[in-house]
Amino acid sequence: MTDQDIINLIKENKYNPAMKGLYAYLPVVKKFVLKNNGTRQEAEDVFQEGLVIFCNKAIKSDFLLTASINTYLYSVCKLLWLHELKKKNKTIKNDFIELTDLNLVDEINEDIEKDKSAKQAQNALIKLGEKCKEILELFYFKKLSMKEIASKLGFASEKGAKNQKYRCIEKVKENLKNELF
Amino acid sequence: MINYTIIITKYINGELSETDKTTFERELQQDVALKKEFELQLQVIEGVKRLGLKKELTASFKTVKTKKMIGKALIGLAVTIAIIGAVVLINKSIHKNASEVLYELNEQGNANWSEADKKLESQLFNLNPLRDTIIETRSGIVFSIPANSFLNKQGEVPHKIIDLEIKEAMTPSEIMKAGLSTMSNEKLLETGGMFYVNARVGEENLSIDKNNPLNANVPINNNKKDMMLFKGERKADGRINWIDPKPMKKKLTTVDITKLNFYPEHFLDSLKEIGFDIKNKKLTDSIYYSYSGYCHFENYDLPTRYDGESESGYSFDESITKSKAYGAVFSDTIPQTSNGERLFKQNCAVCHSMGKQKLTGPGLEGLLDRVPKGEWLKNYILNNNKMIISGDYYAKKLVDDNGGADGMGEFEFFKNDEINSLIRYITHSENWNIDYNNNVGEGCSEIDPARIKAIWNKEFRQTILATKEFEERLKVIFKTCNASILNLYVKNLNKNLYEIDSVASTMVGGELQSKFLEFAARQDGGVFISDSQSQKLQSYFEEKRIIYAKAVNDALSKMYKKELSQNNDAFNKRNIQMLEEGIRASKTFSEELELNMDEAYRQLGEKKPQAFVSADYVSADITQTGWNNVDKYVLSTTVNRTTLNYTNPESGKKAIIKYEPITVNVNNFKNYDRVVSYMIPDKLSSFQLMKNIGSVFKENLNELMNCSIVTVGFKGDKTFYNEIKLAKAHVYLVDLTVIKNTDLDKKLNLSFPLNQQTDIMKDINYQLFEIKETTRQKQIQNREQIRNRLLPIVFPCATQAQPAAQADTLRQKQALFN
Repeated sequence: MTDQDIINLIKENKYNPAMKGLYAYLPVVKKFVLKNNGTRQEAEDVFQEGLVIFCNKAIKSDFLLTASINTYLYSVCKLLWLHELKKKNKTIKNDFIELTDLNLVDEINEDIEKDKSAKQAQNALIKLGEKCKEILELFYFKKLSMKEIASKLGFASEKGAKNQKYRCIEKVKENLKNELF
Repeated sequence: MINYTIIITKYINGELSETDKTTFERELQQDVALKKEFELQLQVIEGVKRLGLKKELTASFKTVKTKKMIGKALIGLAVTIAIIGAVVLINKSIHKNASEVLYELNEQGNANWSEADKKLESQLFNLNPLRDTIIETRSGIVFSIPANSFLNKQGEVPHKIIDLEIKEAMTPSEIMKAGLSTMSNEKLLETGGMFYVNARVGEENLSIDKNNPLNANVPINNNKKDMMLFKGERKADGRINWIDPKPMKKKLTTVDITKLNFYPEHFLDSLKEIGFDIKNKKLTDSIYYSYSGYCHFENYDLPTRYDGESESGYSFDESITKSKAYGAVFSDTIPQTSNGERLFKQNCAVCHSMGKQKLTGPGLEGLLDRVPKGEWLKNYILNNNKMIISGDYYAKKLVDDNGGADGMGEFEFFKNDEINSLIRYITHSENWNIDYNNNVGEGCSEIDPARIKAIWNKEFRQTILATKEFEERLKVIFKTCNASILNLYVKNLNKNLYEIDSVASTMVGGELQSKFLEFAARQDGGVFISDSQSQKLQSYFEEKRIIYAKAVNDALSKMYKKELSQNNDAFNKRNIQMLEEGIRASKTFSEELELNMDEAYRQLGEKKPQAFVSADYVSADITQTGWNNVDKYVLSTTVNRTTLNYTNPESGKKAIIKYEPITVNVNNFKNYDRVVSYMIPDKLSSFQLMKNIGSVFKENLNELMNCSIVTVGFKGDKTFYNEIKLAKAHVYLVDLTVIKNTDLDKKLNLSFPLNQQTDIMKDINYQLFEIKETTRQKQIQNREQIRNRLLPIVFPCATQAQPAAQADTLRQKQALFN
């Protein structure tokens, strides 16, 4: 599978086949994490976080691959793990982060920063009821229409679903505000 | 607040009317609370998307993971190998914002901190001193820190993580705020920014290994020339005085190497002139690379030139003979390596050490870094006093710095190449990767396209070769016709361009030398590369250039071999055709002669002598008198196809056989590649060819026979046809119509007996072959013409001698078969 194949699959929401290609990059990340105070589980978590950042970037219409997926993913995971270690007040051992070029590092740092704020919102979202999460997800991620959502989730009317959606957004915002301030 | 949410949602979903939208956007600008809500909501949406994505990915991750459990170890291994190949050995250190960190003692080990030290924030980087590291500060200074560049008090590289502290004031306002002075010995400086660097292990200050310095790439807004780096000297009152200016190198930026133009000068222009699509790099590449190995064309007939054991399959002696022709051009560029050392010991060693140690004069270590670039060093060695008098800044400074009123001795007696080898020795560039006379095995010293192919690729993307600056130099390198110069750049990737330029300038003479000195004067720097990477690329280059040369050689030799065998085939085919055509023509001739004889004797009322039956009549000697007269007339009639009008002088009887002209005029004759016209008499076993004059076919018709005229035209892969049945002695204007080859056969079959049909088809097929062969020859001729035209561009020095010779060989070969 070429890089472009993987990206095309992601753009078409075909995550299972895309993962078959992406999974090949796990072992190196694992090796790096294991070498630097991490466990297998942590390595997989970091890898998945890295995947989220990469895929989130890849689904954007204006996405351009500046480095190979290999380089990008490996670099993201390394930086993520460094942040993780920093939180735990640990430093890495003798192994330093190896990155190809500084532009890429800048780009990745920016991506991680963006993802942080999305992650914050995601955490605020998790505290919500199941139905709320479902409405928002179907609308914003799966891009279903409100009409489709209303029938799928058993709302009496489209309007009812809409109102529910507003209330859900409002709730997340409140949760988020509480976290931020 | 829910109202906010509703309207924001509608806005984001694009559900607002045009006016509401404008109002909303205006509100957004003015209402801070709304703006906050808006941003929050965008964040929420991002969060929702992330959650969705995360769920999807986690699910598919688990699926794939379970499937991959088997054979996991194998995949892990394969990927590890791939990654190791992909990661370049440049490290980024951890970036710590540590404004609160301030050390007790400064870099000099005292507590004499300036105002600026206290006001400017520290940026702290942790790095491994044993590895190459690149860091970028907040304002964009990029420090390249080679491995082992920091030393502790014992002069050893510490085996511990070190703290690199950097403070910077890069804008005028930062400089003002920090209270930094811009004074150098009471003179005002125009500054491009200031920075402070110090490295420590714990509290211990480290020093920088002078032979292995850090490199700082400082961003400068207005690209001012002559920017200098000043050293900050701490004054007792806490001020900083700026002293000891050094010129700064220009930073090189790598670009996409495949987008650069590594062809010799005018190569693309010429291709364009000839009519090639120069945007098609595959095409232009294939043309250029096909010149690989062109210097020993005559070997193309041999199956392989490279036998895999050495670079060249032919003997060393042979290559020496071959390079002799070029000896005159290059002999003065082949230096005696010991010469520089000898000159140094004889003339310089009394006052200068090669190291840091100062004798009467300064130690020469790091010379090229210190002194002005270009011709300066050369002129200085020749006559430094002249330069001092002329007011040269650096020459004067040298006198001051070395505490003497006098300059150095004068060495005007040095010859150019002596100075060159001396400089090479002093600057240690003798230890560089210079392979003089590197072209052994390539037959001539020209830069073989295989070498260019070996560097013009992604492997070299992060090197000095992937720069506009190198592209410019390469154009000049081609003109040196000396592959050693190219190798100098390729094999010293870890050096600065200006250093390589300086060394290159010592290896050539005349205008080219000034050109390289001019390059050196630009102070173009380098591109950071680790030693291992540099080494890897060198062997990559060596390996690939041989592989490419071999590949091109194989392909060309295959091509020429194929052409040769095609030439042979054509030669044989033409021979056979000539033979067969001769037999056929003589057969029809004797048939017609016999017919005419019969008729002549019939008209004369005589009996034809038996001898004439023989088909070999043409060559028979006529020794008899009498009736033989008739034979002679009939013979000449048949040969010339003119009317026989013979009267027997004894009997007064006449024999008349009329020949009358027929003309076939082919419409649009010029539109065809080739036209043939066959006269097919009913009384002969084969055809007769009509004579072709311009666009017209002519022949004389024998009244004794009924003839059909078949005219066949060829254009491209199409065949055209016309048939005149029972042709009369007229002028015909015929139009040819297109016909399929199979139909042609059928048509001939309908009109003529089998033997005539077979003969005509045979001839038509031969014509088709001739057309193809002519096109092929024309193509070869075209190609060779183009190749010869491009040759002086690809190999600027090999203008006449060899190419002419090889073109001759080719022409001779072709002449054989034409």
